[in-house]
Amino acid sequence: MNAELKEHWSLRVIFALTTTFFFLAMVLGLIQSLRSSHRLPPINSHYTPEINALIENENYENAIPHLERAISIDLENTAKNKTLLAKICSVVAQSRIASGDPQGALLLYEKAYAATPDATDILNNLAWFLATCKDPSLRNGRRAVGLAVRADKAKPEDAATLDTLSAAYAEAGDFTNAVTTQRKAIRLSPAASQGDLQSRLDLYLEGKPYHAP
Amino acid sequence: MTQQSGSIALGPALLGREFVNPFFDYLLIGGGLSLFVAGFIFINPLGTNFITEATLAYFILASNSAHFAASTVRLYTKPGTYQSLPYVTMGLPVIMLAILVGCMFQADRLAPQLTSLYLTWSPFHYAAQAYGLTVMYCYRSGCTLSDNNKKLIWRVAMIPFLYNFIAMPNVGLHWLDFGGWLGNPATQQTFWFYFKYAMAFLAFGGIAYLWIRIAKTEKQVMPAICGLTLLTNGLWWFLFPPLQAFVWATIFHGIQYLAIVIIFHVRDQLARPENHHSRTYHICWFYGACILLGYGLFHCFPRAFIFLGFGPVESVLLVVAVIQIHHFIVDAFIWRLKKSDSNRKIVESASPALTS
Repeated sequence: MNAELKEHWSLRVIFALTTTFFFLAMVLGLIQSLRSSHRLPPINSHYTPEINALIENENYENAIPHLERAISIDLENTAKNKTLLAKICSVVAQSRIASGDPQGALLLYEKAYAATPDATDILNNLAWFLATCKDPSLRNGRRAVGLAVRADKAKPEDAATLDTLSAAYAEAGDFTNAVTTQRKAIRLSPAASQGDLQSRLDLYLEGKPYHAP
Repeated sequence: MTQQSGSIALGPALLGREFVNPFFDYLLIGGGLSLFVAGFIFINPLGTNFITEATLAYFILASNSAHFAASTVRLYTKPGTYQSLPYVTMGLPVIMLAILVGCMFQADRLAPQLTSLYLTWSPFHYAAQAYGLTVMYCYRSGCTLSDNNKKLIWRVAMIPFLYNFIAMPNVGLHWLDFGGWLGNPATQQTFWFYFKYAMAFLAFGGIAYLWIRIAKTEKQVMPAICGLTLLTNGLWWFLFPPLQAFVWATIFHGIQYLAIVIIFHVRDQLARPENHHSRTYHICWFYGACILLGYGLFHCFPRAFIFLGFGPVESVLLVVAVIQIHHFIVDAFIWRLKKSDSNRKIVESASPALTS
C-alpha cells in the first residue's frame, strides 16, 4: 500500500490540485450567478439567459457575436438561434440606416439573410435596401428583384411585399412591371398608407426609381 | 416429464433474474417506461406540451445531469478504484480539464468539433450500455453466451448507432463529410429514404433473430428484458425526428443508468463490514450526491468561465461536451466484470426475493 502511494504521489498531488480548482470554480460560478442575477444558477440555465439579458437591455451589438458562436457550436438549436440572429440583425440594421451607416446596415442584412435565406421579412428587408438605399454604390436592382420575387411568392397578395417588388423593378429599370405591381399594392393596402405608395407610383410613371431620402 | 420441466423452466427463464423485482427492472432498467412515454408522444404530439421548457429542465437535472454525475460518483465510491484505476481516477480529470481550458481559448475552431464528437459518441455509448445490460442479464439469468453470440448482440445493439452515424445531421459521417456529397438532394432522395426503413428493419428484426439464434445454439432462452433493452435503445432514433429523439433517448438512458448504478452502489456499500447504514440511506446518499454534483457541473461550473470573461455560449457548451466525454470514458472502465471486481459479485448475487 505504501509503495502504491509513493508510486502515484505526483499524480495524487496534481489530482488534489485539480479537484481543489474544480470546487473553487463551482464556488466562483455561484458567485457569478449571485452577482449578475442575485440568485443561484437556475435549473434551466443555459447560455440563453445571458443572451436574452443582452437583448432585453437592447445591447444587440454584443448579442450578435454570441449568437453567431451559438450557431456554430450548438448543433441542437441551430434553427432557433438563426431565427433570433436574423431578427436582431434586422433591428440593428434599421438603426444603422437611421444613424447614417448604410454600409453597416447592409452587412447586417446580409448576415440576417445568410442565417435565414427563406424568411419572407428578411428577403423583403434586404430587397428594399438594395433597391432604395441612398448610397448608389450599395444598390443592386437585379438582386433586389430576385429577392423580392421570392418574398412575393412566399407571401402573395401582400401590399408591403408588392411595394418592395415595385421598387426593385424600378431600380432595375423595368418601370412597366414597377407600375403594374405598385398599382396592385395600392389596391391591397389600407387607406392610411396609400399616400406613400401613390407617391412612389408617380415616380415610376415618370421613369424614376424611388430612393430613400 | 421432460415436456413438463421444459414448460416450467421457460417462464422464469424468459423473465430472467431481476436485481430488484420484475416491475422495477423491466420498467426502469429495461426501458419499459420509455415505451409508454414513446407511445403517448407518438399518438398525442400536442400532449408533450405538458412538459414545458421550465419543467423539462427539472427532468433533465433529475435524469440527464444526475446520470452524467453518477459515473463520477460511482468511480470515486466503488471499492478499490484508486488502486485498480489510478490514471482514470486521478489522471483523467486533469486531462479533461486541460482540454476544456484549451478549447475555451480556441472556441471558434475547436468547440464545434468537440460538440460534434460528443454528439457522435452519445448513440454509441447508449448502444454499448444496451449491449452491456443484455450480456449482464443473460449471465445473471444463467443464459451463457458463446463469443459468436456476444458478437451478434454487439452488432444488433450497434445498429441504431450506425444509423445515427450515417444519417443524422451535423454528426458522424456528416461531421466528417468534407466533400458535401451527403447533402446532395439526389443522395437525400434516393438513399436516405430507404436507408431509415432498412436500418429499422435490421435493428428490430435483429432482436428477434438474436432470440431465435441463442435458443437454437445455446439451447437456452435469452431473458425478455434483454430484448426490451435492445428494443428501447433503437426505438427513439427510428420513431422521432433527430433532435426530439436525442432529448428523450438521453432522458431514458439516464433513468436506466441511474437505476442500475444505484443498485451496484448500494450492494457494494451494504457488503462493507464497516457499514452501519440502511439501504434507503445509501440510495438517498448516492442519488443526492448525483443531483448535487450534476447541478454543480452543469449549472455552476460553466459560470466560472463566464466570470473569467469567456462567452456564455462556449462556457456552457464546452463544459457540457467535456463532461459527457469524461462520462463515456469512465463508463468504459467502471463496468468491467473481471473475476476480482465487485461488479462480478453483484451480477452473480441472488435476487432480493430469493434471499428474503
